[in-house]
Amino acid sequence: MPVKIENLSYIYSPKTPFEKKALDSVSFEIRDGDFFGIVGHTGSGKSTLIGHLNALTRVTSGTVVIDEFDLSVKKIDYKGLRKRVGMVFQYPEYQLFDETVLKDVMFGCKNVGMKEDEARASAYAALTAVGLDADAVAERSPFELSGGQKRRVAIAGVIAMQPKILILDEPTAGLDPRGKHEILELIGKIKQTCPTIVMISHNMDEIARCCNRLAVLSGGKLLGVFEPRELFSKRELLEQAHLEMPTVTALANKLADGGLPVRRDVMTEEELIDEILAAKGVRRA
Amino acid sequence: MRDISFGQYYPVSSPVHRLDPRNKLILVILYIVALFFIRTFTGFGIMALTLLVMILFSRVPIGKVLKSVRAVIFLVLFTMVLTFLFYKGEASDLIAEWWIFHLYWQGLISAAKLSLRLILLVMGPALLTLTTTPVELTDGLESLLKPLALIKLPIHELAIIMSIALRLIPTLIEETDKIINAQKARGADFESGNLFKRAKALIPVLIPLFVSSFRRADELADAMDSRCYRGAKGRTRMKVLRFRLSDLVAFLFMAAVFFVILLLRYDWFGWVAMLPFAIL
Repeated sequence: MPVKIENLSYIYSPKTPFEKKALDSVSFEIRDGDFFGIVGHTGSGKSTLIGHLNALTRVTSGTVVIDEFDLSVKKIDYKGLRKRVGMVFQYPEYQLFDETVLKDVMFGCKNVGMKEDEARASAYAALTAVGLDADAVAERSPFELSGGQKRRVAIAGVIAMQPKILILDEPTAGLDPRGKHEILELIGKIKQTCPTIVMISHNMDEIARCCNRLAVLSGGKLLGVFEPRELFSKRELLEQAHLEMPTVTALANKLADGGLPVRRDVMTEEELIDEILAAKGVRRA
Repeated sequence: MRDISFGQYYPVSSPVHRLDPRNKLILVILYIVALFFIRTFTGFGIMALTLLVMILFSRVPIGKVLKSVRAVIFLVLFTMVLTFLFYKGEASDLIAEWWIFHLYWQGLISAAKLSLRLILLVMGPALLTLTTTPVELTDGLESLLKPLALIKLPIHELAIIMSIALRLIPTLIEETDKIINAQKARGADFESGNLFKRAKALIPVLIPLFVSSFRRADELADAMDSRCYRGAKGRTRMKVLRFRLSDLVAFLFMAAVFFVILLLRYDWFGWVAMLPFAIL
């Protein structure tokens, strides 16, 4: 059980006119090997929640335990924790700073105490893992790359630290459809070496495609942890959390509303096609 | 970091908040000038009372205004001690002496007055920034400085530069926060090591911050261009500054205080001398 969150609450700017309760006694667990999704409307507390997972935001009320790290105690081994839990922020390309791509990717490795050659090898492996030609980009300045390449370099900078849990905050934000698709494929590949992945996303298609479990947040409260199919068949809950259905599921629902006897909880194009064909009594070629 | 992102401004609705920022600027100037005419404890008392009245009207907790004194408390103590230690008075006035230090009653009084002046000097403008948003302040300044446009000073341009700078402070702080967090997540350590090491640790924050500032400036310039911004000529305001009745009342109140302070100092009509008690 790598991540265990209990009764976690957090208040921004306490005791001022700007006071805001961002998290309200949230409890759930993330299991080994999960591709865990966190969904919720803007301002529902998703980012605050993941900020706790590598102690960028310190626990003020409740407990968070990640493997052997208890984040609710005062003194924690930050470096050890941040090596274990990798964090890719929204628009991670804005964190690039070093002269060369290689140095930038090695930055994190060196910070958590890897030796020079070890860090270099890990950086090359990470660059390759994110689908870049490591030899071609290693000595270039990160600022001369394209937007999509920059994002890959930034992700490489985190996975080069060889985390066991990777947290991604809207990894596809601001990319074109093709860029989104590529980043998701890449995350799927990363999951082979970093078994537990936590992803925030506004895009329910992505969530439906990638995640096996989902936490739904609304106004700082946890509405529950579900499997995607389970969640997307709960219309009321979706409405309450201001979430949409994946495109395919929404389409299936429209068809069902219109009288075609198809299941409402389909999640992929294939499933929907099968349902429609079955409803029409046509056997699939 | 988050705490300073809104500046000092204390967001409540009060008669003081609603005053015309131009008027508030003038009031603060009057207040400051008056402080320098004061020689007596009575005078300081009157000013403190004036400030208290304004604070009460502003609905800002008094502690918030007092907090501003914290920034200068060291300066106040320092000048107070120095004045007391090195004041040269008359021999009859001496309390104690030791080595090169001579302590006089007059020195103590003068030190007390100096500190009172400094403290009041800080609290007045603090109330201004607590009750006026930075944007209102620049608007007020721009309007007050308008006459300088006659001597070809680009007042509007200076004002817009100031507004943009003020507007971007919270944005940049937020951005800095994000970058610091991103680098911390990559194991960066900003808290330990000697001064040189810590300064070096800031490079991964400063470079992305500069890069994004330039990008932001470019984007803003484009956005202004594409909305045909071309400086002051022919521009009207969305929020027109208005001098209202409450402004007049506040101004007359301050003017009266100012007059009393001058009267205490110069006593043109001999009224103060006629009082049955002496003014300290």
